[in-house]
Amino acid sequence: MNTPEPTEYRIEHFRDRLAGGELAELGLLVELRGASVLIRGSVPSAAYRDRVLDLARTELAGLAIHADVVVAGHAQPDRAEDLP
Amino acid sequence: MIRVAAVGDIHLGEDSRGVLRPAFDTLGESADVLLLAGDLTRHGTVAEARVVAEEVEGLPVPVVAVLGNHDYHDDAQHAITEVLGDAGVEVLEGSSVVIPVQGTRLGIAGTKGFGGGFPGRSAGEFGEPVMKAFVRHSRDCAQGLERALRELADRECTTRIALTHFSPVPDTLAGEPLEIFPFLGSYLLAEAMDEAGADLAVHGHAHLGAEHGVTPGGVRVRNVAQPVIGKAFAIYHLHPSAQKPATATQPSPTGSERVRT
Ligand SMILES: [Fe+2]
Ligand SMILES: [Fe+2]
Repeated sequence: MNTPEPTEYRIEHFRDRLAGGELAELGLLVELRGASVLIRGSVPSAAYRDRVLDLARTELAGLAIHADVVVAGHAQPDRAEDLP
Repeated sequence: MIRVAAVGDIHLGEDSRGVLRPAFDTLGESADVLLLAGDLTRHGTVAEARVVAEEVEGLPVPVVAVLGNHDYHDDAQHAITEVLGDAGVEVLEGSSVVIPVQGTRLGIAGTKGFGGGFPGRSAGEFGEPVMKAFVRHSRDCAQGLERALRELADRECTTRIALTHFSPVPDTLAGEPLEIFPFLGSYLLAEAMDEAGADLAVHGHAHLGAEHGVTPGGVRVRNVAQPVIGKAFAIYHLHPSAQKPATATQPSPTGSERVRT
């Protein structure tokens, strides 16, 4: 009863919350790396990233979280790829 | 030269209004067409589709789209297609469109596509009804794409692009966990492109993937998921007259039709 829930399942529950909730986020990598949880990928905005990390801190409370989440650029490209 | 702008996985929510519009407004200078490779919305709601419509309505270039899995999430894919259509977006599903570009005919064939995996590691149409339905959906999408590409050959397009959401090849999934490849694409899409012929394949869906790939038959593949390209869109320059036949390894009647013009 009082054994802690395995971290693997907690990560999956976090991934379910990411996908099922307001964020509808399925594109981030979330995995166990040693004793900590790595969250990696690209999101549309800084506010969105904050919401992802807030959810992570709630769902994965007590675990070390390593976040490498970048915000995707919205600028026009400065060059084209030529396909001869 | 044909200048193709493309982006997928913009995942616009109701709070995303205006995010891409400033970049899209510059398309008149840099591109002849804008392709949207699916996952245009976050939850697949009509309200989000309206945000997408506002981002692309009245742009100086034609806009052609396929939907992605997120655009199906609220079971509103038909309504979304309609909202985008009202904004002038050509939404393809097993269908094609021809766009005249500087005296040549650019054809775009599109389907959402689906998963199932890649040769040697792919799902088969076998067993439980839901498993058979899974594979059959992927097969239906690929067949729709092949039909649409052949249509474009019949309509004498000098350049043909295959637009999908799911990936036709594993190359552009590099960076994604290997274990989820079967959920990211299907070789059936590549086979359709190689059979019917295409000059370029554009897809999204794999946010952690890579931009460049090629089908077994030699069609160049680009993953334009916004997290991958890191820009509002990518631009590709195609050269209708100088192109080698996409079906060089296996000449087909439709492949030779391509070069008739
Ligand atoms: Fe996506
Ligand atoms: Fe997707």
